[in-house]
Formats: sequence, C-alpha cells, structure tokens
Amino acid sequence: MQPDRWRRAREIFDRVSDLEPEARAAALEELAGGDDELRREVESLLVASGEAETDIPRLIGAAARSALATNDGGTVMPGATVGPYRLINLLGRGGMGSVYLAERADGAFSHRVALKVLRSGLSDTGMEARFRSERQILADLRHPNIARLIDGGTTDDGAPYLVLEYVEGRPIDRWCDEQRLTVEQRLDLFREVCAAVQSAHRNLVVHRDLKPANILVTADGHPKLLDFGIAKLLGPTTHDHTMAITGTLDRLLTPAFASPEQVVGKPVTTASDVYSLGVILYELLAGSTPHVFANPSATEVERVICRDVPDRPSLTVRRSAGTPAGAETARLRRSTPDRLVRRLSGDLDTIVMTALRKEPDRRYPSVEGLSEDVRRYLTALPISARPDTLAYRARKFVSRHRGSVVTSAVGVAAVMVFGVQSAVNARIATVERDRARAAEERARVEAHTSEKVSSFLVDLFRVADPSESRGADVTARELLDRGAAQLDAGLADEPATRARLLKTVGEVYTNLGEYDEAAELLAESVGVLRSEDPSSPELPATLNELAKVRFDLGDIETADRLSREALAAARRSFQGDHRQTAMALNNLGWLAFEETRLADAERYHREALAMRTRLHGDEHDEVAESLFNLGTVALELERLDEAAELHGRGYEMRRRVLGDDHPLTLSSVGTVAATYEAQKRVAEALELIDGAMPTAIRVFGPDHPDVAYLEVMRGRQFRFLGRTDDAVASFREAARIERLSRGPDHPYVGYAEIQLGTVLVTAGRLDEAETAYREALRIYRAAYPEGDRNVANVLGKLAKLEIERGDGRTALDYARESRELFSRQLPEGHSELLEGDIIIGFALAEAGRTADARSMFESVLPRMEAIGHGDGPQARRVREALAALLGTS
Amino acid sequence: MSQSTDVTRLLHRWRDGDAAALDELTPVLYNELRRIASGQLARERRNHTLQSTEIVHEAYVRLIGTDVPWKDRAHFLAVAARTMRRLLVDHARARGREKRGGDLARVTLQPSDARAEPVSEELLTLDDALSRLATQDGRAASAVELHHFGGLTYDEAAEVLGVSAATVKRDLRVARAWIRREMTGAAGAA
Repeated sequence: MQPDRWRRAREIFDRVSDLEPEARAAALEELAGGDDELRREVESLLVASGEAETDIPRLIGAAARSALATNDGGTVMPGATVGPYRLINLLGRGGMGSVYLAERADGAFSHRVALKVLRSGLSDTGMEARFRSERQILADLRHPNIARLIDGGTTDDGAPYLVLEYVEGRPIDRWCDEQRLTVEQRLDLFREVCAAVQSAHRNLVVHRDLKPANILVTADGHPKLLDFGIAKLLGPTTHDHTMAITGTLDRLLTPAFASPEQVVGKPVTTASDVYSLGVILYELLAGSTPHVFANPSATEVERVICRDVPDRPSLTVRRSAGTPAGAETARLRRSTPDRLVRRLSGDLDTIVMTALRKEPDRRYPSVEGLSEDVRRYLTALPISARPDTLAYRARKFVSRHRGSVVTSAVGVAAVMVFGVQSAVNARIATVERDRARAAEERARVEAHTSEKVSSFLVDLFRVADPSESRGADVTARELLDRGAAQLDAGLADEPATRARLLKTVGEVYTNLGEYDEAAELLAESVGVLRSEDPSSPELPATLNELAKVRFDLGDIETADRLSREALAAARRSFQGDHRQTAMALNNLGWLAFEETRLADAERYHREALAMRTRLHGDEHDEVAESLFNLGTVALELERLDEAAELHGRGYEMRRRVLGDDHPLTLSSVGTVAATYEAQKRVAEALELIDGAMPTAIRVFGPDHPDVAYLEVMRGRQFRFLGRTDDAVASFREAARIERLSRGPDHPYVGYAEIQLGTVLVTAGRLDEAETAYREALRIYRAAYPEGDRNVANVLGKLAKLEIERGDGRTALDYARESRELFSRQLPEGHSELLEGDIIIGFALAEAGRTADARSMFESVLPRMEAIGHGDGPQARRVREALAALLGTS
Repeated sequence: MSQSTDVTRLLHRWRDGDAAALDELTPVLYNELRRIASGQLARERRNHTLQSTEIVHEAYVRLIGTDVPWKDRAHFLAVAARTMRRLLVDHARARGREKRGGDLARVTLQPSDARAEPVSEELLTLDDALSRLATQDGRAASAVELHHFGGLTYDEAAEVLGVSAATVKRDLRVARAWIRREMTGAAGAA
C-alpha cells in the first residue's frame, strides 16, 4: 500500500476504533464510503483487532517460554512407519514420549489414530509380558466417553508404543472456560466424566492419572477420557511403590492431581480416582487446583499432598475476589466473585473436600457416591457427605504431635501445633540431657505436665466446634484469648503445668505477632518458675523466649538482661552443651548485632553454631538458625558471597527440616531475598518471595509483621525491575500492615513510606511521593533522637523531590537542614556530607541562584575526586550541571 | 572500566546518533540475555513462567544498575527489546531446523503431555509480519518490539519513539491488528 494510502487507512482505523462497536460501521461508511479498497483495508484490520489485543502478547510470551525452555523427546520422525502404522505428523512431546497422528500403512482402515511412542524401554521380558496382558484388559474397555486403546507393540528400536483412538477436543478446564459454562453446566459435564470413570471401575480398571489434559471435550460437548490405565501399564512393577521415587514421580504423575497414597507409593485403588476427580472438580469450580507447587520437588509434593489440607473452594475464590484473576474466574462462570463464593460455600465445598480427604477410606466410597452427591446438590436435595468437625481435626493433630512429627495443619491447628511442638521438643531434649542426673522424678512430672497441656488444648478445640459458633471460622486469636482467660483463673495448684501452659500460649501469641500479650504471659510464667522452682530446666527456656519477645518489642535493654540471666541459669542447670545455653548465646548474638557490635555478634553466633552442631548434628532447625544469623552478620559486614552461602544453607535446611510452611522458614524468606538483592539477583529474589507469599499469608494471617517485611522486599524487587505500579502496591500494603501490627508511629511504618516515596518519585508521581516522605519524616522525628541520621536522610529525599518538581527554594530548605543534621553526626569529608552539598548545589541551580550553584559545584568536584568518586555517575551529573550553568551565565 | 559504565557509554553514543555503538552493544546484551535465561532455567526447570520482559529487566539491572536517569533506562530497554526479539527468533529457527522444517500440525493437541509445540513456527510468522509492517509503518512496528518484546511501559516507549504515550497505544493497537491479520492470512486489500 502506498504510504499516503496507509496513512489515510490508519487515520480512519484509529478514529473508528475509538468508537463504541455499534457506531463503527456507520463511521467507517462515512469516512471511507467512496473508496472500496480503503474500506476493506480498515475493515479487515477492525476484524483482526479484537483478538489481537490478547493474542499477540500471549504468543510472544509463549514463544519466549518455548524458545527458552529446554526440550527433549522421542526420536521417531514423521513419515516413518511404526508396526503397521504410518506417522503423519507429531502432535506433541512430553515426559512419557512422543505422540503422533498416524494411519494404517496397509490401508486396512482409513481411521486416523493417535500413536504414542513411549520413551522408557521395557527392560525385561517379564515387563513385556505384563505390558501385553494389561494392554489386553484396556483394549476390552468400551465406553462412549473413553478413548479406546486399539493396539500396541514395540518399535524396531524396542520402544513400546500404544495406538489410541484419536480425539479432537479441548481439555475440560479450557473447554469450560472457553464456553463460559456456569457452575451448573460444569457440574453436569463433571457427572458425565464420573459416569465414564465408574464404568471403568466396574471393569476393575483404575485410571490413575485423571487430570483435565486427559479429559477432552469434543465439539459436541461431551467428554472423552484418554489414557485410561496407561499409568499402570507404564509402572515398572505390578506394585506401585516405585511411583514415589523421584524421577519416576516426575514423569508419570502430575503432582497437582495425584492422591496422597499415590505419592507415597501405597496401593492405588478406585479411591485414588475419586481423589483426582475431586481435584478436577475443585479446579472447575474455583479456577485453580487445591495445591499449587512453586517448586515441585518430590519431597515437597509428598509433604503438601499428604499433610496440607487445602482451602475450601469457596475460600480460594474469596481470597482472590479483589484481584483481576478472581474477577476473571467468576466471569468465566457467568458469575461475580461474591455470587460464586456463596454458590460454592456449603454443599459444594463439602462435596469437594470429602473427595479430597487424605485417607482413602474417608472419601466417597465410590465415584458413584461422589456423582450422586453432585446430582443431589443440583436437585436441591440434602447431600450425604458431612464436613469434618473441628473436634475431629483437633483429635488428628494431637495424635500427630504425640507421634512427634513436625507438621502443621490448617488454620488454628497450624499455630497451635507450633506452640505444642516447641514444648514437646523442649521436653524431649530435656529428658535426654538430664537422664544421667537421675531425673526420673522430673520425667514423671514432665509426662504429667505434657498430658495436661494436651488435654487443655483439646478442650479448647472442643469448645470451638463450628457447629456451636454458627459455622463461622473461629480464629486462632479467639481461641487463644479463651485459653489465656482460662489460664488466668485455673491451675493455681499446679504451678509447673501453669508455667508451661503460660509459656506455650505465650509462644503462640508471639507467632501471631501479638507481642504485648506474649510478653505478659511469658513474664508471668517466668515469675511462677522463679518463685516455685528456680532450678527448673524450664526457666532458661522461658527466659529465652521472653527475651526474644522483649527484643521484638524493641526493648533491647530488658532483652539483654533476660538473655544474660538465661545464659547463667542454663549454665547452672545443665552441664556442658545444652540447647538453652546455645539459645541464650544466639539471642545475645542478636542483641549485639542490633547494637552494631558486629564482632561480638559474630563471636556469639559462632559459639552458638558450634554448640548446636555438637548437640543436634548437621541437619537441625536451630543449626539452620545459627547459619542464618551468621549470614546476616556477614551481610552487614558486606561479605556478600559468604552471606549468600550461609543464608542459602540455612534456608534450605529449614525447608528440609521444618517444611515450607513453617513460620521460621517463611520468616527467613525476606532475609534470603535481601541477600540476593545485595548480589543483584533481583529476579531470583522476586521469585522466592512470590513463591512464599501465599503460604506466609495463610500461616501468619494477612496483617502480620513478617508479611509486611516480605511485601517490602517484594516492592524493592519490583522497583529494581521497573515494575513501578506493582512496587507502589507492595509498599502501600507493607505500610498498612506495619501500621496495623506495630502502631502508626513505629519506625518500620516510616521505612515502608520511604520505600514508597522513592518509587513514586521514579514514576514521576511527586505529590504522592511527598505525602509518603512527609509521613516518614513525622514518624522519624518522633521516634529518633534529635538530629538522627534517619531524619537527615528523609530530609535529603524531600529536597531531591522538590528539585525534581522545580521548587528550588523549598528544596534548599530541606537540603540545608539535612546537611546540617548530617554534619552533627559525621566527620567533615564524609561522603554523605558531600552528597548533601551536591543536593544543595542542585537546589541552588533550581532556585535560579546560578552563581551560588556554580561555586558549590566547583567546590564539590575536587572533593569527589579526592575520595575516588571523580569518575562516577554522580560526578558526571555534577559536571553536566556545571557545564549547563556556565553555558547560561 | 566496569561493564556498567561501558554499557552506559555505548548507550549514550547510540542515543547521540552513533550507529556503530549499537553494533558493539548488541552482542554484549545478547549474551547477557541468554545467560540470564539459562540461569533461570537451571534454577527452576519446571513450572516456571519465564517472561522475556523479566529477563530484559534483569539484564538492565545487571548491566547498568538501578541508579541511572530515567531516559537512559528507556533507551537501554529499547536495545534490549530488539535483542530479545532476535534471540527468540534465532531460537525458533534452530528449533525448526531440528524438526526438519517443523511442519507440525496446528491442531488441538490430543495427549496430556503435549502442549504448545507449534509456537516457534508461529513466532517466525510473527517476526516476518512485524518486519513487513516495519516497511509500512516503522513506528508502529517499533512500538510492538518495545512493548511486547522488551516490556517497556507506554511512557518508556513514548520516550524512545519521541511521541506521546497515547500515540504509542494507538500504534500498538493498529500494529497488533495488522500482524494478526497477516498471520491468519486474512489479508485485506493490502
């Protein structure tokens, strides 16, 4: 098209596109009516325009992933023959091998088939025989909704292949979204899937790998199930225990849809298919799978699938309700987030969660049962399944903690287990260390105390059964407050038990970030022990815990005193190495760090690390803690590689030992991210935080200081990546949480506001930035002593902002005050003072005081050169500014 | 001289009209992008949503640092966007050769373990269409490169192209429509 013709076409396209769709035809007619070629050109662009909005970005995104991802797969080339089949083209490749569209080479049938060449060879004749007999069973499976296994054999190279009915269709999840099926329509379709699975079960065939990609919906709207029983056909032995081995698991199972018994290699039954159907139903209703794996290592998959109870579908929808993704999930179901939450709450939640229970015998006894409950829901009849009671869950977690398995369950239980677990660990450690000192009596008391602690907690859960509280969730906080109230009154005659419980509940408050309550309970516990049993091995532990809380409350002095008392008490109560001795050393290390006595900090932490390694070996959460703390000292000393190494080791150890959703693992994420950031590994830092955030919110609650810290770190990475809007959102959220959890005048609020201001300046949103900086200034002026560097720092930032804005006079006021405060704290010639002068110079220039600005810049440059900053970007800017000033004067 | 100042210097030369600077800059950038991409892959083989735009931004942080004027940043990203496009196209070509012409059916894939293979083919078609668009409407084609391959915001792209952000949006709209039309073969009276 000629350039002027194109310009004309574009002009019309631009104008018409701006109009509402209804008005376009008329406008096009008016603008290009007389010129057919022009009109067709614009028309064809308009037609393409709608889909192009999403298509092109998506294609480029997919291309990047595909181009940058590694690929491997089968070796057979299209055109070759396999047995009596000729391969027409490659449909795709994957973990199992390659799949081809194929047809009979001898022309015996004209049917097209899908031919799957498997990558794994059949290693022995026994396997080959089994492969053949299983194949026969599958070939006999006839159902209109199941893709038939037609044939199979081995290629010339010895690779087994399967010939399957060729199905053209869309995976069920995509089909439902593309057709925007309502919840009812999805349930109807799901029941058709159930009917097909049921029929296979009657023939004693279990699918073993049900997932949306294996359920295609054909153009007529009916589902067709693929790969029935194939997973078993490929299993290396008749039993499935090898499934759990890394690698085998990767290839044969899709973790998100695999049942607990599958991932641990227990026998797979029809109940496993019930579970996978539950996952599929979950996804069809809520728009995501119940478990999402950020990093699907075999151990993580096993841990999550076997232990973590997922959020109910309605809760998942509610959590995302305010986000674009949440709105999209609802839209694709022709609903709104609120309506969808209401629709899923109750029976549908119960149906899905029943199918997803960990224990096979607690799920629906058959696919039929599941399907029947869905039918009953659709016809408004009462369903057969009953939700788990909280009392049931409480029984479960108590029995689990008796087994001394470090674990966590949902919500309340997660928090409580953590508290109980610490107590149990403490007890075990204590009993072991004291055995030599004839602590049999002590052990009896311990056992009694532990029993009391357990029954106290179980009682707490009974009271909190949701059937008594109108089904509303009882928050951990309510439960704890109730527990604390009971402790207040009771157990006066059992000081040991009372002290232990005060400590346990105090620790749980700590983990919820409720430091004031925690400090109160722990101090009371310390008081009881000091007066009733000063030689109690519980005393050092309780002192250590209280010291930590005091530290978290910013009361460094008391924390230091308590830690020293704890160290002395521990050395008195225990000979040689002891867990609590190491803990006190660790805390003293922290306190030294906080007071920037870094050499002391390093010494304490090294001592603690050595003692902990002697006590616990190389894999232990407290060893991990010491590694972490040493890493943080190294980071402060700018020994970055050492810091990254120590943090990395500590973090990975925590993940292995404690699990990904343990509060300590989560709390360390921000620190590891900070180290990555220091090393400029920004994308890694962001990835790490994104991976941990949902778990952190689930475990800590959305308003916890640790979540705020993660948000701050996330915001910083966004800023480095240039994702301004995301950074702003993160910092605002962090400031909100800090305000809520630490109070509106806490310096951490100021810190979040400064981060926010900085990114807003980058985005040119100066008014908002000013608000943020001023808030930080207010907080810092109140929180820090007169003339503190933090105050000077904010003033400098405000000065730069005003320069950017062009208000040289205001900038000058800020810049001078900032420089003044710095000069009180720092020696003449410090780079911070130099920076202050540079800002003053720019402020002068902006205020139009050219001569003053010039002489300031001229005085600054030689000083920059003197400290080796003469070639940096800052010096370049000064020179440029100077040159500009000289040019205008 | 450090890599960071080196890159910044080249960038300035290119911005000031020195075309040779771009030739020096591109290989540095190409290698950096590839290194970051493979680094990300090595870290996280599965389930990782690798974004070309994130890689570009990470390259920016590594090569230049974060403390640079806003305009330098936009110009760096512009070069990175072009380089990213080249990298993806090279890769898609290699993939195509590996598959003997890559004549994969663009049909719905049947098996579970087979999704999204024909993408490399489509990318080459897109690249081709984009090149043709460049002869017709150079600025619109550049806008696509900057925004979609390099992840530049509208404002950043506007800075590079010397137009307003609103114009960038319009450029993108018409460019995407044009490309899509070309790719689906439903050409009008071009």
